[in-house]
Amino acid sequence: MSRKIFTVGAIIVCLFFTALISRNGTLALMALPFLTYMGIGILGSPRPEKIELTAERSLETRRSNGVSSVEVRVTVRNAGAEVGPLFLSDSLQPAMTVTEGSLRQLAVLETGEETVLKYAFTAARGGFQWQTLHAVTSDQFGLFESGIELPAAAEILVQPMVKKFRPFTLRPESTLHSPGLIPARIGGSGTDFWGVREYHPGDPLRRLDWRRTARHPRRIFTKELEQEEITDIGMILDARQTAEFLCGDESLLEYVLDAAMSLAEMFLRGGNRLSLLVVGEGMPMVYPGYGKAQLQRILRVLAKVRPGANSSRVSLSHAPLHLFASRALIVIISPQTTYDSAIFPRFWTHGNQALLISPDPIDFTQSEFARDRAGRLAVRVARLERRVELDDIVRHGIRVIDWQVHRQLSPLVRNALRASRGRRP
Amino acid sequence: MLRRSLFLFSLTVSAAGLAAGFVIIGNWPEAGIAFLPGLAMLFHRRISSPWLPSSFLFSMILLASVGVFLEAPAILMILVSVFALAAWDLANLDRSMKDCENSQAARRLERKNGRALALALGLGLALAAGGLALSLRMPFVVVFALVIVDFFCLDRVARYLTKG
Repeated sequence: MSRKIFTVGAIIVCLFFTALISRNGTLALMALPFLTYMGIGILGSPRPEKIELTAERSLETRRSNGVSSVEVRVTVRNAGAEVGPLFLSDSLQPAMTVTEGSLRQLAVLETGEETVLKYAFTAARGGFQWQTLHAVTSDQFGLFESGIELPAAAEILVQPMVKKFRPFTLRPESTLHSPGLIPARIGGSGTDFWGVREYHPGDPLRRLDWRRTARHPRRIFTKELEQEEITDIGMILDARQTAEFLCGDESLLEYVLDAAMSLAEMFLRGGNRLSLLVVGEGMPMVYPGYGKAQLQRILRVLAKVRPGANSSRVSLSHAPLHLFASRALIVIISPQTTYDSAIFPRFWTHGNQALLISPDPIDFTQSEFARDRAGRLAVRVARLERRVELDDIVRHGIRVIDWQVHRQLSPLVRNALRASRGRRP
Repeated sequence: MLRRSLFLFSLTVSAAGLAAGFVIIGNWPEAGIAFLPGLAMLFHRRISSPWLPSSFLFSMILLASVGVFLEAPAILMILVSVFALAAWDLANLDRSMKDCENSQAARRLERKNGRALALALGLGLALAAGGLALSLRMPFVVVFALVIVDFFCLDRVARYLTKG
């Protein structure tokens, strides 16, 4: 029941009953204008079977970078009898901010006429979809309303711009036997000098080591170059509720996602094979692949990540490691691994080299702690606990980056992955 | 502009009519009070409470009923209720048209509402005035039964429309 019909109805009832109780006809006469008002409202109220409205939603783009705003246009056409007033309202989805126009519009549509609800919005990240447009039509006075959901489906993916890391040469423990950019620590067809060996029939003449050959009569030597290959990388991203820390308007998960996007872009730019597993609601995963198409697949998944699953239900230890090739380099991005210690020995047994990037939640939320003695002590204890936890992970042969999110991640990753000493499968 | 002018006119007539009714019977304090709901309603654009127009209408009808009991001129009190209803409707229209950016649609809606409002209030006023002129005496039970039937019909019609 609308507020207006309630008001008019209550006044009519009150006036009639007061007139009856007091036996005063004037009060009953005072109710007559209200009755005629309501009667004309009833006569003008919309008949649902005669409403023939259609809506069509169009978006400026199907993919946005999260910086520029996206225009949404919903065109509503009336193929039936005159409709008016018609209130159109679109739903505001979480993380959306309207920058221009309004989500509501009032219109009067005669037969064959159309109106356009137009607005622009921005969102940092996410997948947004609409199914319907809510329309409410009523009589001239707005007493009797009739709500309709007009089908108007559309969807858009907002994926933020990837901050590119400066490229550096990875030094993983093992590589795939496909040409790439990573020095594989075996002789082959690369660009860097690797060693000298005796000539084998079939070696190209331009690789002959003439000086050494001249020093050793009757023997011929060939210069060997270091083989450059690609590597197999798997990323595990922690998007559980426990990985979400908020400090004012900032979210730690957003830093984690930014880092994951940048790393994915850098790994794929280097020609490597990359796969992704998001530990969270629905456990979305991207199977191993190469190139720009794979980057788009990964960015699409990362754009839709929301903190969801409870860590008591979903543990990092449940991660299906068989998704990743054995001896692949596994990069885990997780701020808190207190209850997930079982996963780290599994990397060793599975033959994977692992790198844990752990954004520091204590440093991130430090401004939220009280500044008194108790607050300082709490921060100190939390730091110690984290230190012990990370040291325990290092003991399993895992490289750990303790990342204060306001510092650049790229140099830390470079140092961690450069320092590897190779072994051949 | 037309909407605003009509709203101010209806508001003034209803408040002034009420005050005049009380002045005629010599109730000066009530005449002063009669202007208060109107004054509050003047700021309905600034006060965002959705219940302000309804509170105004309830107060005006309550004061008009008091006037009827104090034997103020009946036609004046009926006029007060008619114009208070018009002011309430126009204030609500003003609020709902905040979302209407299209000026052509706004004008059309204004015209449509104005026509229907004039028809409803004119007819209501004519019926009420006719009722004042016509003196019909009916037993209480008959009147009560008529009122119940009236409400029943209204309820049926409203339910049919809202269900559909």
